[in-house]
Amino acid sequence: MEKFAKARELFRDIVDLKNYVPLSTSEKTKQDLLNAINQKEKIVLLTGEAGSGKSLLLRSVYDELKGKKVFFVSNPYLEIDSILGLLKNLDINDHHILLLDEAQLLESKTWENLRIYADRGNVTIVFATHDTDIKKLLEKKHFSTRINYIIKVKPVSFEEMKNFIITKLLKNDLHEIVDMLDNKNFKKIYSFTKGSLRATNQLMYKLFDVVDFFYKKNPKKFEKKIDNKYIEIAIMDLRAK
Amino acid sequence: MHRYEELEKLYYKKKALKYFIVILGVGVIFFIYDFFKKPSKVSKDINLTKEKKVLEFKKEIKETKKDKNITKKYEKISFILPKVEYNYSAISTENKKIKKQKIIKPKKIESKKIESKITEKEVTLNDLIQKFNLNKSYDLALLIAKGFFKKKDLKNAKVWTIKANSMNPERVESWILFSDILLEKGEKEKAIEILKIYLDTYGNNKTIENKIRSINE
Repeated sequence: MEKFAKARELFRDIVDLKNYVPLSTSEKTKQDLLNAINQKEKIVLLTGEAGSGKSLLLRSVYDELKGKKVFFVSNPYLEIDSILGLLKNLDINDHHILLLDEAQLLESKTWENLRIYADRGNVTIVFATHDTDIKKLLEKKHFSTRINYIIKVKPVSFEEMKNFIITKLLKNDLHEIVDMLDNKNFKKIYSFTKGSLRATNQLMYKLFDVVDFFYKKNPKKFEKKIDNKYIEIAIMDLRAK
Repeated sequence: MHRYEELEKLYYKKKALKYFIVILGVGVIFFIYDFFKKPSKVSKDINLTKEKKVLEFKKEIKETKKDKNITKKYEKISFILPKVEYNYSAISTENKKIKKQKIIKPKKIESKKIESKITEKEVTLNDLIQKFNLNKSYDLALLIAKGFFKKKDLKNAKVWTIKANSMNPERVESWILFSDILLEKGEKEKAIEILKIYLDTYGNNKTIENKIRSINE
């Protein structure tokens, strides 16, 4: 596989723990979340804009808590019924952790059920959801009084985004490509992604696809640098979709 | 053609368009700058009407002038200068002395003495002209003009009135004196017209208005 095609695959937009890059912001958020869980809080909300890295962070926390009684629900539509059945039969003396991704998909009836289970005190439920859903949830008084923590995943800074891209490439021995990217390229990328990790992954995936195409046509053009022109083309393609 | 190749073409088109917009923008800025740099049409029209009014005044003066320098000075008259408060206290003491020296009351002087005074006046005018050449001032020019006017030397009186006017067209004295010269020549209408030009240009002025009234009476 050519180097650009290999780089492209690194940025495929999937929630895979292999792709988790410990950035300072996300690491702090992760630590806050682990502290809340260890304190056996009843309900914790993990919020943030779409693509801010909530899912990956939650999976990273899940990975950290392995060995404890922890459940991870990535798709509430498919898995929640079985989880609810499981929660019914939990030992009241044991502490359990339920990590619920895409919580905005839950029906209000399920929210109520989960709140009742959390009230029993033997389970910490972490809901990962968008900011907008949080507002709706907090409008319900009985919920707002039970939420102990609201942890927000912020968009990453320019430097963090740069580290995110470089770390991914370096982890996979793609030093050559790292050397080809300069600050101008990163500025262009950040101007489009605005700190969203999902957008960064999507753009980088598209960029390496574009570069791979033109590289095959004329490899001489990619001896030293990656021109911003290719980033622009990748952005145009993403916007067209 | 592959989609990415199409996008590459589109990219170059966009880039060319950007450059075009930038160049156009710069052009527009220069145009606007140039447009505002020139006086507006309205002010041009105002100036034109004023110039028309001054035209006869100009012609009259040109007829009387032969000196090239004077012609240059006269051209300044056609410019409408902004109103400026004249600081009378700023007039030098030297000028005041000259005024004192110049003021002559012929009625009170006996016939023999008049002759001597007249010779004294001629000398004074020459001195004043020399002083003017060393230190040009409105008051001196006007003083000289008045001297010639009193001597009934209307030609020189006009020349020096114009000189004074060109140095400070806002001050009324030169306009009044010029109207007096025209009156002396029997050109009453022109005299009134000249004074009206002053009012049109610099606004109401009691001295000028009184002068017009006195001419009409």
